[in-house]
Amino acid sequence: MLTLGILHTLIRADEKLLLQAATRRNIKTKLVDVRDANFNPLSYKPEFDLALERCISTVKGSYATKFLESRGITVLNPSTVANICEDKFLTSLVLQKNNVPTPNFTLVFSTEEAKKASEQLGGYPVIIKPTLGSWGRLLAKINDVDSLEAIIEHKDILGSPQQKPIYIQQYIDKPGRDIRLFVIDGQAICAIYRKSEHWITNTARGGNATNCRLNSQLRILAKNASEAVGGGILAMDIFETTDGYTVNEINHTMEFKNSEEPTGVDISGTVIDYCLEVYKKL
Amino acid sequence: MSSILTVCPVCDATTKLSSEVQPAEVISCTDCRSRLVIESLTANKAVLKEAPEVEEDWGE
Repeated sequence: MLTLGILHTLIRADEKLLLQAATRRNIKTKLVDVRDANFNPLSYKPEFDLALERCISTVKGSYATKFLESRGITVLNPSTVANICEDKFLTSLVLQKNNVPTPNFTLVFSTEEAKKASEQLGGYPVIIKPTLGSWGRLLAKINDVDSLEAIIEHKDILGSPQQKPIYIQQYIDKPGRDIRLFVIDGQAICAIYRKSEHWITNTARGGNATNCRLNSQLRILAKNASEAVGGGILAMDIFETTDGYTVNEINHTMEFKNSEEPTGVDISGTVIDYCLEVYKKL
Repeated sequence: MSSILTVCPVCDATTKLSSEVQPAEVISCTDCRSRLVIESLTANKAVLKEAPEVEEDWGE
């Protein structure tokens, strides 16, 4: 009988939904607050069979996953998937390499190269975002060279080492919304539109969630993008363009609490079912 | 459903928690709306503290 370890830092409504879904399925859970963990390989004794990584802190989640994998424990998502999805540059590279539509992008380290790169991407506006980050934080829509210089100077002087790489992405003029596509093991299970008058449409920034009916293009995109990053439990941010869908980012510890109601899909239950399915194959 | 009474560390209001809360769970004070986290929890006692500020690597 599976005991599912849930690796966490803070417990959000999403983790509560997962715990409730596990209880409904008579699956035993063990909450593991990684902030209190001591990952000493000589003394650590796991009290679970398989782990679901749900840390709000990407760095802590990443180390916890790698440690447990080193002890032979399967973690969802695996570190190979997390490593790609937590880094926007790596995600873009993998998508592009696997012919999954994604906005044009580049990475530079200086203002002068950023100016040239912005022209190469089709000119202003362009988007600058941290390679590590989420919830639409520190995204900058750069409308002209003056803004570009200012943002890079701020990143240089005020930023942590993680802010030094300058990831630049082609600006996509969205129709006031984007799509959050929930994908488990390559299968699209549901999607929402995130509507906002602001160019940043994340629900964490106030974007409004409504159901988005799945279609064959979204299902194919889900499968291809999932295969590109290594599968698992994923939430993909999709833009609608005149040339079709394009994958902006992929999240590996997805938040879904605002999406079960509009879609009518038991996302938490589907995640737990997938954990059980993986466990049965171990 | 039974509940646990505790005190908001920001506004001192008495806050009622569901018996289903978990340690490390994020909640909001019903009076001042402060974001709080459950620091410790026993059968009938919960200690709250202010939730930490968002950090650079937080997210999905």
